[in-house]
Amino acid sequence: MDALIVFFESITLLGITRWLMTIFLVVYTIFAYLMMRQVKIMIKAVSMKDDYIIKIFSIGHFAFAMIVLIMTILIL
Amino acid sequence: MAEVYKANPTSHKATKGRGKSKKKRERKSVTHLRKEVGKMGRDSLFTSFSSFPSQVCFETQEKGEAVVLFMRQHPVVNLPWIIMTVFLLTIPPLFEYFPPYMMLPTNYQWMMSLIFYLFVVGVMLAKSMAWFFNIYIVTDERVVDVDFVNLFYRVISTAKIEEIQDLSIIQSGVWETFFGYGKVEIQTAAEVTQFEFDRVPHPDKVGSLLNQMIDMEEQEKLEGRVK
Repeated sequence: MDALIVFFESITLLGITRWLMTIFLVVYTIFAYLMMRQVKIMIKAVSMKDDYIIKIFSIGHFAFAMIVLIMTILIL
Repeated sequence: MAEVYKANPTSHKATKGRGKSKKKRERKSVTHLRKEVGKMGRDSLFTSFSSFPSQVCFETQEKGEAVVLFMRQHPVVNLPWIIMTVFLLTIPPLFEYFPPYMMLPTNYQWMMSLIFYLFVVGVMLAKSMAWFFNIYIVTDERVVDVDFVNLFYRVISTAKIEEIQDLSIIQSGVWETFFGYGKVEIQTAAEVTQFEFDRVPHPDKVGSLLNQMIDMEEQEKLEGRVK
C-alpha cells in the first residue's frame, strides 16, 4: 500500500508529459513506417518518371520521426 | 485490339529497362492514336495530364499495351490542404501565449514544437500522397482507375474499352469552369460498372479520346482483328 502511495506521489506533470510524448512518437513512427511501405507498394503498382523522389520524401519523413523519437527519449 | 504489331510497346519490364537502346515497336492502332491525339501535357513527376507519357507503366500492364493517357486530379484541388498546412506551420510561435506550455522547461517546449512540425509534415505527406497516387490511366485496351483513398485503403479497377457503354462529362461550378477541370463518368459492362475520373483536367478531351477509342474498337471488331 505504501509503495502504491509512493508511486502516485512520484507522478509529476513533467513525467506524464514525457510519457505521452514518447507514446505518441512511437505510434507516429509506426505510422511513418507504414507510409513508407505504402509508397513502395504504390510505386510498384504504378511506376512513373522520377518516382524515386516521392520515395525519398517518405524515407525522409520516417527518418525525421525516428530522430524526434530518439531525441525525446534522450533529452527529456 | 489489333494484332498487327509494328513493335513491342512499353510494357512494365520494357520500361524498367528504359534507356537501353531497345527499339520500341508499337501497334498500328497505337500509332494511329498517337497521330490523332499528339502530345498533350508534360511528362514531369507531378503532371496531372499527359498523353503517351514516356515512363509510365503499371503492375497489370500487358505486353504490348500502351499508356495513351495518364491523369491525376487537377493540381488546384490541393489548394485547401496547402493553405491549411501553411496555417498550421504558423502555430508553434503562438504556443508561448498558452500558459500550460509556458510552465514546461525549455527542452520540453522545444520538443513539443518539433513534434508539432513532424505532425504537420506527416499531414502534408499523407495529403500529397492521396493526390499523387490517385491515378487514372487510359491504355489502348482499357481504363484503369487507381484510387488511393487513404493510407490503408486503395482500389485498382480496370475495364476494357470495348466494355464501355456510356460516357458523360460533368463540369459544374465556378472553380471547375475557371480552371478547366471536371468529371468523366464511364458506365461499363465490366465488374465495376461505373468509373469516375474525378476532377481531371480537360474532361472534354478525355471524353472525345475515349469516344474515338470506342469507335476504333468497334471498327476492329467489324474487321475481325480483335484478339
